[in-house]
Amino acid sequence: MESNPSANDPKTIWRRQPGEVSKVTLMLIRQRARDLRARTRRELFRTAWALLPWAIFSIVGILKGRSVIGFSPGPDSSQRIAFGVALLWCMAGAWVYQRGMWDAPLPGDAGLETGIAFLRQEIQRQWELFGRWLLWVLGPVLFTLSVAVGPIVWFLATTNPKLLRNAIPFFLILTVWMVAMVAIRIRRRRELQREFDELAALEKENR
Amino acid sequence: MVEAVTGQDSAYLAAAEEFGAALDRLARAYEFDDEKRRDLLQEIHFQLWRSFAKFDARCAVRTWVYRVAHHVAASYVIRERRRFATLVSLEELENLADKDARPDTRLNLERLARLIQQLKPLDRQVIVSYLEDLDAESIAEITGLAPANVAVRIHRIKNVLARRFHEGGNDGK
Repeated sequence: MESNPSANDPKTIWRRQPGEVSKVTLMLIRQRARDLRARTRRELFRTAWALLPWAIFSIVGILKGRSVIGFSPGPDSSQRIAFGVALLWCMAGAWVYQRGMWDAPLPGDAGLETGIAFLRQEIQRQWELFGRWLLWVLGPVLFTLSVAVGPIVWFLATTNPKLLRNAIPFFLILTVWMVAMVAIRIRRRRELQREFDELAALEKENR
Repeated sequence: MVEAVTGQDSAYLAAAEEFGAALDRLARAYEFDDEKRRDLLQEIHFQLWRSFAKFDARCAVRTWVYRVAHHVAASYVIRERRRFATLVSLEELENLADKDARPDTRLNLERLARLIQQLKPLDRQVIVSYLEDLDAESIAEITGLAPANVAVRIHRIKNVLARRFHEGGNDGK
């Protein structure tokens, strides 16, 4: 590939661009390694804190055998089991999803992988994250919400239906929010699938 | 406290010395914002340093460096794209009307970088490697595309550059 020496030659313009003023030093890289470990720890703590209210809520439910409003639509034992499942699912979900998010983005032998192979793996990883999100984030959130809100709805339906009607906008907003979240992720997953197919076709073409 | 320089460190330092400028340019192909680009560049260097712990000379250092750098940058694009417009392939870019209506006789770095940043990661790898003056065989080794496929893409790159920047017609023909 010969170079065009003219000032309007893309290669010349590209290669003569001004370089970065700040130099990346070994010290900076080591600092970044430490920052990465600290960030991972911070994220774990943040998740633990976010889980705390759910955990307290579920533990109270397990101990009392009924929801925090003191009303239970079913036997105490079934309520205890539901709160126990909610607690375990939330904790397991946080751990599994977190692990997926913080998996090292590059394996050690990344330099041996070609661009196509790496992209395919990366897209597949993102695609699988969606499955994890459904099972380990949306699943426990919906389940815990139904365990928490279910008795309240049931209580209102039997004692004060008018109040329940007033709460309909809240439930509507909650439903719209959840449907929108799922729709956005499904769209993103379709895009990823399309890109994955394109790369697979390209690899097939190369053989 | 000063930490001792290991074999991994010295391999990285040698690579950074030789390919540092190319990595700077590569980062520009993936991020226009100065601050974010600096961050991406640091991430590339960081991952490159990490990767040298496993480097066993099964491929050339240059291929290794470019692959790792493009992998980091491609991951970045996939992650960030949630907030950005859809990217296009070289083929689509070739058929896409330029926003600036008339082809410009000036070709500057900003326009070139913006053009590259419209592309999907794999096509970006090809165009950046082409601009770095790598031959088709090296580009094929880095990307995993067949040399014939690389040649087709380079032909498209030349067409796009010629049409957008009016720099001497279609030299691909």
